[in-house]
Amino acid sequence: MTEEQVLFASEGLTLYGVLHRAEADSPRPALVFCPPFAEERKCAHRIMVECARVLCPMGVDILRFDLRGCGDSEGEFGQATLTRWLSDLETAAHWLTEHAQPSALGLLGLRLGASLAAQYTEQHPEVRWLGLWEPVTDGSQDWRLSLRRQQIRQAITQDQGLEDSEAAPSHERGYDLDGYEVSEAMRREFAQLSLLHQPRVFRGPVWIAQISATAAPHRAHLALQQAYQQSGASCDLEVVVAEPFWSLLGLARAPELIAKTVGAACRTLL
Amino acid sequence: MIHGWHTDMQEPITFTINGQRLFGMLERPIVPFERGVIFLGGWAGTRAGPHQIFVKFARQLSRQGIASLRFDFRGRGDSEGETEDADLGTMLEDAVSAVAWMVEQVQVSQLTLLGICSGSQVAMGACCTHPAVDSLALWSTPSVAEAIGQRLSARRRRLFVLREYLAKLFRVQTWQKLLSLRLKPKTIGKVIWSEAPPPTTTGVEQQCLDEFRQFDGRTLLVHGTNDPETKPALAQYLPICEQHGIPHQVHLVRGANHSFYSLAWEREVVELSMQWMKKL
Repeated sequence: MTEEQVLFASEGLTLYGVLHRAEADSPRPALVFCPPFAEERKCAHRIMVECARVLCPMGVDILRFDLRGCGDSEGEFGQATLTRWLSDLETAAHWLTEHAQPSALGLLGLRLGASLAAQYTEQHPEVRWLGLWEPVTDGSQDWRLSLRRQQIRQAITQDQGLEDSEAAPSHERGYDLDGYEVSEAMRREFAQLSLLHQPRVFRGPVWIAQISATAAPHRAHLALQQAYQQSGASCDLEVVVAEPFWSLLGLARAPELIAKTVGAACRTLL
Repeated sequence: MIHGWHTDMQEPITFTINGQRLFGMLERPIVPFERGVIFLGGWAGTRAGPHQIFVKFARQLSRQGIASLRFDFRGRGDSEGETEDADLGTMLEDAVSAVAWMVEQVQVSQLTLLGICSGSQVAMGACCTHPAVDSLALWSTPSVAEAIGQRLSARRRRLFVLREYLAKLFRVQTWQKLLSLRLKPKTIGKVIWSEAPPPTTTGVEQQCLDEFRQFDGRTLLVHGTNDPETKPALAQYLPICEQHGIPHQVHLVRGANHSFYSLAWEREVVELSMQWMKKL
């Protein structure tokens, strides 16, 4: 397996990625990883790297990349929208197809990245496998939860240090989500994001991983599974009992999630 | 595939230590430059820093004619190495390698080490390893329980958070939140237990402090007033600076938490650090 830093242009912006190349015979399948939103990317980064390093030696080329305004990619976070990120994903998938000439293309995403991957496949029936790690099924609810988590964190840490303490100053433009500038356009698109309100079109195999503290499947995930099945897709839902590593400040491990993901991807792609 | 590519300013790089590749991003100004900055992330962080503060600062530095390197420590971010094998000692080795790389490959003659949290301890540890290192920018440096060990520090921090929760129990707002089910016990538990510092080697922490005592370059200390580490950290580092004649400047970001999680706090940290660097 080799790992190379790569870049490609998306609407005039340079996007950064890492290409994991398998040593298996060509042509072989390839997979695009779609990262999650804002600080979730930082927290989940290492898990995605570790997953790529387990899956790639099985014979799958993998592209991990940063959406515009995120990580090492060009652009301002405050100017990004979900539409533009979807365009970045389109570019990444196209770039990988051109450079790796894969036998089959798969997509794997976490949280918002999973939702973007699901949206992408609605227009791309050629995708052979779609893996969704804890997808955001209801953007409006997720946005509210993100704001509430931020408020709780601020309430908890307030007055912990020196005597003159005060809350985070309000942001004059858009929203300040833990140091990320979120434009009103982004918030609006986020709020409108729903994987459940419209019938699914994609018919390729879908694998949903629910990552939660309990083993009971969530209603939203069952509904999403049903939506895919109604479209004629085979859709499996697996529950992985694990911490929500995308919102943890410290180091996290997810060996069970990685093992199940590798199993599901290999069953379809290889 | 594009090899050896770079944009106008940004160039992905790798360097190797003990056979393992470290992934990084070099910001090279388009004008001639002498100074470079090496960013050192926290224990679980990546080269982007919390809320990408390193990326934003590095790009601003480049526009001001200052080169910079952001890289992932071994076992972190994109870099090779096992996650669990990394500790403060390997972080220090990586930082020393990064200094050598910047001097040899980028030809900088003056270097600032900029660290956040554990990264600033590493900056202290690497400050005397090369004559090019002439300044330290230390953001939210945790205090070190010298001779007592790091477990006390973890316990002290946890006790602090617990005490704060107990104090909040006596507030009306807390009970309003509790009764309206707006409090999440699991989240609170995570906050308490995630506050523990990394499992570092006390010997390396001591080594970092000892190196810092030998340093005679300029030092900037930045802390948030809402960070429980601020008080013990200042109580520890200010006397060291004064006793050892280390020229230093302290800046407190009013209301800020440990990682400066708001746009205004972030802007303040970046702006004041930039002003400080321009005067070096």
